Amino acid sequence: MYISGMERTILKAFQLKNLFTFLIFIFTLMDGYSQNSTALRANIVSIEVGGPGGYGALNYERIITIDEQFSLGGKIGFSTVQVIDFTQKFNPDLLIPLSISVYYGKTHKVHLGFGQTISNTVYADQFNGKPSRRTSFHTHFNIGYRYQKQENRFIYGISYSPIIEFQKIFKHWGSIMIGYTF
Amino acid sequence: MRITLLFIGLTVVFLSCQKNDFNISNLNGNKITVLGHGGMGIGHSYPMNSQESILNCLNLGTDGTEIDVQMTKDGVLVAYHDETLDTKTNSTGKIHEKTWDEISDVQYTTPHFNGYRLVRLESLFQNIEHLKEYIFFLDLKNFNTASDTSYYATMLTEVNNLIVEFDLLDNIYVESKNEGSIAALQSINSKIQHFAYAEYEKALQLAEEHKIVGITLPFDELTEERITLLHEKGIMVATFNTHSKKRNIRAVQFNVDFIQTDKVKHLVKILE
Repeated sequence: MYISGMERTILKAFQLKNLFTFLIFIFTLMDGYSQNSTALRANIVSIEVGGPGGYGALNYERIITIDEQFSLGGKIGFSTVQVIDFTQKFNPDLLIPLSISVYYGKTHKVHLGFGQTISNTVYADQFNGKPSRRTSFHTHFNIGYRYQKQENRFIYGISYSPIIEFQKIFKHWGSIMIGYTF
Repeated sequence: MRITLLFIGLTVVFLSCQKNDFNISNLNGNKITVLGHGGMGIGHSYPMNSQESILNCLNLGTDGTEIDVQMTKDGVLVAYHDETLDTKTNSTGKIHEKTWDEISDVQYTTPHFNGYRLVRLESLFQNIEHLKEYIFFLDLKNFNTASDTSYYATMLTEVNNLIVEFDLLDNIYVESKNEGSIAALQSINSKIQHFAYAEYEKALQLAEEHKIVGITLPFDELTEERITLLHEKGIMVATFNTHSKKRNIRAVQFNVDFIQTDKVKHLVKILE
């Protein structure tokens, strides 16, 4: 079937509009859940050693309460490996782990999740030795345990979080974290 | 109490700022040549012998670096330490069983997410600015023990070709472990400078018999008596396994001529 340039533009706009509508729907849903769960402190900032950020990461997580036992979490983090590159210039590796997890439990929670780590790292070009950057994607999973007393703002966790580096190299990995809820 | 704490604090600051004054006396112009150990050494986040590790080491102000050298099946010299690729990379097998094309995309497994790759020596030397200002120790590793001598002979020829191609006769020391490899390389090019790399007695014997410039000893085998004796015989000393600041300082106090360190920044700083 032949599609003219004008039709293609309209189709693309329609698809974008659909995507936009879908995103608004998701955000509205999340907002509704989070308003219901304001009292449960839906935001967590955490420091993680190990995990999908590599050696460690600073994370922000938004918790959406489903019911008394179940909740969902969307997490974004930030990490690095080298901050100064091999030419001694400020040129940091950037690692951004993105995860979603399902939590089950109240004070003691178990969780299961997955996500992607986006890396933008510096390497020495094979042909000229100059610093170059490459962006890559890596899948990660997590299964773990979290502990938080209802009246306490601090949260503690431990996870097994294997990584599929560059979507092809499987690595066992883990993490411990401490977070603050607000 | 507050005054006591202040006193302790000031003492700590004073001691930490104390400059190390060394009275260096050796065969290297009373100077110690600071070398990285495969670049930034064991334990650094750049993998040993990767291009990133070696360039980082040179850019920190060292005099050069030690590099572990192996050769592929098709005669390409590659910087890599271990016997198998399994231990440090996402590949398996040995370097001498592979062609360069088969391993050019192999990645080191640490640190996560960086995917640093193996580097061939030719590319590395092409990429080093002011190459002739640096000193390189090449530790030739032959894990192809099953094959006849032709593989190792080819490896020595390739090493010589590399040294000649980049005009590095004055900048490279080849670490050799036995009579056979010293004699073979001397027969290819008598101007190549050697360090004997073996146990002390064996290394001394090799150095004296083949009149080579020095011997390489692990830090644990250094004693003042040995170094004095070697220097009296006109034999220089290189050491490695200085994987702590304390060992760096002790190695300097031993008056060795070359240190292949795992604590690069520290050694550069104390010898500035």
